[in-house]
Amino acid sequence: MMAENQALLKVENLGVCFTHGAMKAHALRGIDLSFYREEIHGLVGESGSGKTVTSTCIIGLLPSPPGEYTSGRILFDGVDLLGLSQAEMRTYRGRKIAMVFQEPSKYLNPAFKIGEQITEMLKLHLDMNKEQARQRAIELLGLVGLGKDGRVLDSYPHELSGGMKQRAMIAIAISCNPEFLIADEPTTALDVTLQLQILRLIKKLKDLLGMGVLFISHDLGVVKEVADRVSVIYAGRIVESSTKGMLFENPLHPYTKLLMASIPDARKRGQRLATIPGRVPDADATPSGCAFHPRCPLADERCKTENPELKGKENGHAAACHHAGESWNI
Amino acid sequence: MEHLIECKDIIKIYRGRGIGGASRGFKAVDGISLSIRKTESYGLVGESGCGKTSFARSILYLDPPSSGKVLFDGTELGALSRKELRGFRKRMQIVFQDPNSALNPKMSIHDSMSEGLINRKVPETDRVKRIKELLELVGISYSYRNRYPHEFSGGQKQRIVVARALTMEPDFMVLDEPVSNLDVSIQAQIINLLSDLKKEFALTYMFISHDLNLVSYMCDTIGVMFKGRIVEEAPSELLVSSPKHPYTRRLLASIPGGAQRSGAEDLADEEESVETLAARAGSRQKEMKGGKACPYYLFCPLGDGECVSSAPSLRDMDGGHVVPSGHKVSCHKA
Repeated sequence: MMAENQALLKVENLGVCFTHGAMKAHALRGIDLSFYREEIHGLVGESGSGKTVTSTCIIGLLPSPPGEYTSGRILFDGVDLLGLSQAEMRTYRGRKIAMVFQEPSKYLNPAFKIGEQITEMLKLHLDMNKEQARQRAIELLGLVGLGKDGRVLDSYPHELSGGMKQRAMIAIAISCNPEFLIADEPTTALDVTLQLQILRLIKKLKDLLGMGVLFISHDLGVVKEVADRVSVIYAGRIVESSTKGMLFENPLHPYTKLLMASIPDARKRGQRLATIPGRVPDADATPSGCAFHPRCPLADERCKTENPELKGKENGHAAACHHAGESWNI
Repeated sequence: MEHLIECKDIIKIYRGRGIGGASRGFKAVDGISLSIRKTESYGLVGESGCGKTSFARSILYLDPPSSGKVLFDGTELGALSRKELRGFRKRMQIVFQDPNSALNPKMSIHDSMSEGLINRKVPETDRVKRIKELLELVGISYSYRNRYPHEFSGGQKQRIVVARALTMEPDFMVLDEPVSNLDVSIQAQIINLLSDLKKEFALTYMFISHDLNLVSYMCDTIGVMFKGRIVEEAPSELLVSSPKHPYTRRLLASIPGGAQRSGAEDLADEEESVETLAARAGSRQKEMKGGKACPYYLFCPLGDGECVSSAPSLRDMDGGHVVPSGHKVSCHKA
């Protein structure tokens, strides 16, 4: 298939297990994801579903031990990232694959000026000298909307507001023109009006730099705003994957349907919200068969024993469910 | 209908202790007047730092207001002695955002829930009976009573916190972002639970949230806060369908996933770019100096000379209707 060859980054059958004494937590149980240039791929899931583990694997920061790869590979430009040594991985991390985190105040070093934190990257990866790096840093700040005069370069993180800090984080992430950007809940800590601004910024930069983007969020609304393609993850498995339009118009997996139905808004006033009974299973006690079966209104005997494959329709809309597309009274 | 809560000109100033003596202090709440009817749900929305929580703490007298009056069921709280106030405390409860810090990790949930009842000298048999009823009501098995908070999930902890607030048989509950720390699939469970409890005990809610979708679903009336003031207040259908204040319009337009979820399609085009906003704020910084200007003037697409010379006050938007709609706006241009 053409599309497969063009994928910028491909996660294939990735499995990750965390060991703690006798307890084994299977955080990822064989996930497949493909990322393309100039496309934002949203990954939606609840806490503990494996969103962040996926991103730490891609950027090569899985703590090991206790983490351990049980299967799969991550192909980037034909290279399996999981087979690289730490030194080799460092030439990718920050340079070709960059990451923006949820809480900018945690990831910016409070003791260094913003300028120093940006130029550090440029000097390390692109061998720029001090003056070149400073010029480039000013350009970058302009690009993320922090002013063209470079005033922010000489600010410390505590002098910036939350939104500005997140912009500074993004400036650091894109400083080396990465081909792939991971944004892990980049707006969760921000106010709604700021959130929209940051989402627009990420979209703009994606077009400008032609990056592939993995956008992780728990918020379906945010993903709807920003993503081109959406995958839903549940208990370490991708349960549904499609283009944004198809997924939001016609969700196939009961989990996706219930998630959408459970979000309150003005039009549901006076009605009861649909709920998903129970809660996300712990990674060390994933149910047999389809992991969603104990909470699923459509579950039958087969779901308890047989784990459904992620099966695609011709249009690329895939769901991992024996009853995909079946409707019921929510 | 009778009002349970009536606030008049609540002002809350936090005194700063700057280097070299007292600084001017920070006005977190800047003259809020509002009334909440019995069994109403009042939603307070606004961005972080706008004074939502300060206001709630003020009207509960957890942090008495710097000036202004709070009438609770007709009694002025400010005029009460500490002892008398304690009697009223029982009738108003608050549920915080983070259930992890609201529960004492060293107390079993039964002990946590008993604390208030013991203070009120409720006999043990009644105490146990009430805790049992409430735990079952919020969906926690009574057999878990001797467990500690860490043994529960976030959603369960929030249920326990709600149950604990109900042990006091309150009339008024402040819910300060009660679901924003919870997973999406758990949020709906807690929201349904809160709706059920409201019916069962005829509770009056003040719902504090930054999430306009949630508030417009839950609440009868919505007040939008900006910099310590209410800039717009209306029944929730009206606020969402025909927002008048430019700030409310901006908030609605910012809801991710499309403004259409709130039935306000035309707003999407109104959202301005960061550069425009920043440029406007920069050029208007000086005019704000006098302290007389409308606080939103800095960002407002409609502002002009009138907005600089006087700050608007909250006025009715009825425009000649016989029946008041309850839509109030604080804007010269609305």
